[in-house]
Amino acid sequence: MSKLTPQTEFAGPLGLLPTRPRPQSRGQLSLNPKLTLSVVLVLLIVFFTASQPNFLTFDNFLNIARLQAVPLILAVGMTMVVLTGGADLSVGSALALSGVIAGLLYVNGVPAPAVIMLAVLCGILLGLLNGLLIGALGMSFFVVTLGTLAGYRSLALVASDGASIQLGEAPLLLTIGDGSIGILPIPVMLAALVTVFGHLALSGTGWGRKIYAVGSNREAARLAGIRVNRVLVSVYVTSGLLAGLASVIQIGRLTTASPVVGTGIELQVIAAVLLGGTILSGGSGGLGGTVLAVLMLGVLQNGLTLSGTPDFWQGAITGAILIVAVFLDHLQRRRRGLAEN
Amino acid sequence: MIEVKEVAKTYPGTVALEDVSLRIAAGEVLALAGENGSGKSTLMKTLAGHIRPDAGEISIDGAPVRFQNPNESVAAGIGLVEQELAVARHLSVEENILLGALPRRRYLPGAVAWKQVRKRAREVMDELAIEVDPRATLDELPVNVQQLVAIASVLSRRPKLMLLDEATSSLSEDETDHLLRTVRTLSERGMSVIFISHRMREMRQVADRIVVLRDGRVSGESELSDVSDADVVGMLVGRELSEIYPQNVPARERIVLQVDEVTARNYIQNVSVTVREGEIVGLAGLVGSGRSTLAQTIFGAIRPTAGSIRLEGKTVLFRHPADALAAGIGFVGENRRVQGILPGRTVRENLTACSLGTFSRSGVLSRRAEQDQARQAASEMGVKYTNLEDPIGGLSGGNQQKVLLARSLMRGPKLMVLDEPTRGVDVGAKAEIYQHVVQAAANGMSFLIASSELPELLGLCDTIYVLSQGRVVGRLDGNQATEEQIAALAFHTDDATEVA
Repeated sequence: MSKLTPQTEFAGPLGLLPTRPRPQSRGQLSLNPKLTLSVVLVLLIVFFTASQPNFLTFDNFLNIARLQAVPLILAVGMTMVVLTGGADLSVGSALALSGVIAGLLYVNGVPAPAVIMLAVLCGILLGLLNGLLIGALGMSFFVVTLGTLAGYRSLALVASDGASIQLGEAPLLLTIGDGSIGILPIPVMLAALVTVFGHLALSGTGWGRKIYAVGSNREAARLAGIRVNRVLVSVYVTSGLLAGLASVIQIGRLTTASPVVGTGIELQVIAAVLLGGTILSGGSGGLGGTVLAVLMLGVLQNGLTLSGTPDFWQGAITGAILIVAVFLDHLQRRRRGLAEN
Repeated sequence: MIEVKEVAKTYPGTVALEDVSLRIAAGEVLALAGENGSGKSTLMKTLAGHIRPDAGEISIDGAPVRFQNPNESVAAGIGLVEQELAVARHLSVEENILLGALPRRRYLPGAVAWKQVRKRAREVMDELAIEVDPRATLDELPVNVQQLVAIASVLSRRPKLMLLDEATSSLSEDETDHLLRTVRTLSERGMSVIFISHRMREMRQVADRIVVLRDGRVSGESELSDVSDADVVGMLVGRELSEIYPQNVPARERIVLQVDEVTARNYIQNVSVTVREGEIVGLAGLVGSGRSTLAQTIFGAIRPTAGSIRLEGKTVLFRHPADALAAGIGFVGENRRVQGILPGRTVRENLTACSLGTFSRSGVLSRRAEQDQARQAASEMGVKYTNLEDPIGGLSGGNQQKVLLARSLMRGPKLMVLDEPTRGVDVGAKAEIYQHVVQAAANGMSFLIASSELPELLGLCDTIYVLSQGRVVGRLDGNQATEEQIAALAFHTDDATEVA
């Protein structure tokens, strides 16, 4: 260094940070929540098996799976959104609005296959609106999806005049929502299919890689030639698409399209994504943890219901688990010197 | 008296401080010098309680102290002005100056005594000759004033020991002079100071003694009056420059990049630069001279507002870095952590982030092809890693930098735009990076290198453009230019206030 070099240098935080102990990546840490979740899941199953005679039956497990099909499908989209460092608070409302529109179309004589496609299309459009506002206009995901959370719900109420729409005889929709092939419920198979596709997309495609890159470091991703805006639009569209798909199952299962369905489900879904080890700031996590977390919450919910605990308690228990789990994860990282300052 | 005894700090892959001892008497001004990554800032942060040392001891007036956090250091009378500007950008000047110690109203619990705030802030502002409205928001003020406010904030606490880590780098000459005079006066009243700067003139102006750090160790210590500038440089570098800069091959005639009268917002104006095939072109200049802006404009990360860029004779207008990459331009930014690294992702993913298209078919990646390419790129660049699937954060700064270079090189660009390619990189890795640059240039790749390290530019470049306040103020032959020439041009206009 010369006496004349009139410049700052970077022995400072920027020079230091890369060498700062960051031994286990967040990527690796996501294994940990998965392990913890598996243990908790097993413990819950053991506990409820011991305390509730009706718990450990095949029918009950199918029941749990059936009930979790919709949350799981939503959680797949949500995982992708959270991986980019965002969240889609409007999924529950998009679920209701797509469902209501599908229901209205159906009772007005549109054939079921077209209804299904239109419900999915509706979801795509709702997601596209979120995505364009966030990706193209650069607005905050929180503001946008909070706005559409209220907006989509309100539109669902307006369209249905606040009342549930009875679909009457709807064999195809009922099959999708509640049918089985052999012993396997169709909605569960659909959810599994969505999850597998989601996982393959995240781990094995350029798109998935870009999702992680955008969440990990948006500016670095842009300078690596990744079109961040498009990636952002794509994840919100995916989230909307899956909400549209889920709405078909939702209305099919009860052959009713309700404008108040899925109220608050966005929080349950986000909780599952975070419990599954995906980090709220993005860039780390994946669907493995999300699936486990959805299952765990499903088992918990089911066990509590069987044991006669009032429904009202479920939120408190879910919330406590979320906070404790994320806190433990945080502690662990801080102990390893990961949390910066 | 403050004493640092055998302090050591290690990060994975890097020894930041090893066995560092020094003492500062009350009222003494000590100059601390060292190259990038020599450990100066680590030492300052250790004194300020931001970092806990692995070994060694710090004592104040004979009593050992062990700071658990910055507050304890502040309470002990140590004040650090950080290298990176640390101000509350949305608060006013006076609030910033008294941040953390705003005077309160006596009879109204919690309420701020604004009159007193103004009065006290005024006093400190006068000392440093800060002539702005104390109620102005920091955001609205130029960087040099913000820097002065950061200094004022530390001064307002009347520290026993003041640590100035490159606090003058964004100040004008007048401001620097005034600051140094104030520091001198306060030291005569008993305040001790550790002063870090890259400018000998400033060190001589303010300090009595100099301590030089190299690779985390004290490599020299002397009364400033006893040493020449050349002696200090010898202590700093500890080796001949020719050892780390390989011989460069002359460039070819064919023009690869022609930047013609390019303007980008207020940051660069009518800049023209030519890069030939196999040529290594340097961009020199102060912070805010427009070096980085020009680099980013060429890469499509910033859009030019006027002028044209021609790549191999064809006019190009990049709307996104992706366009520049596709056209054969590679880029490594000045700030590895912000502009380069994908934290938490693996070495492999960091290596291949630019080249996903080359080993995927209709979007589906071939893991095997990706691994092969990543492994090959890493070994060509000499990246030291244990496993491609390890997180990038475990690599040393030098290796992370090599990963970023390898990432861009994987696409086989015609032109590499590098901004501070060796910032925060240890000497060994630096030399390896230089080897690669020169080797690639010999094979016909062109380089445009923006750097604040003049020896680096002089050692590598065929041609050096000097920028000042967003304009090209000189074009020098890299083999004949001297640091003095470049510095004289860079200071061409003195008021370095803007930051790109």
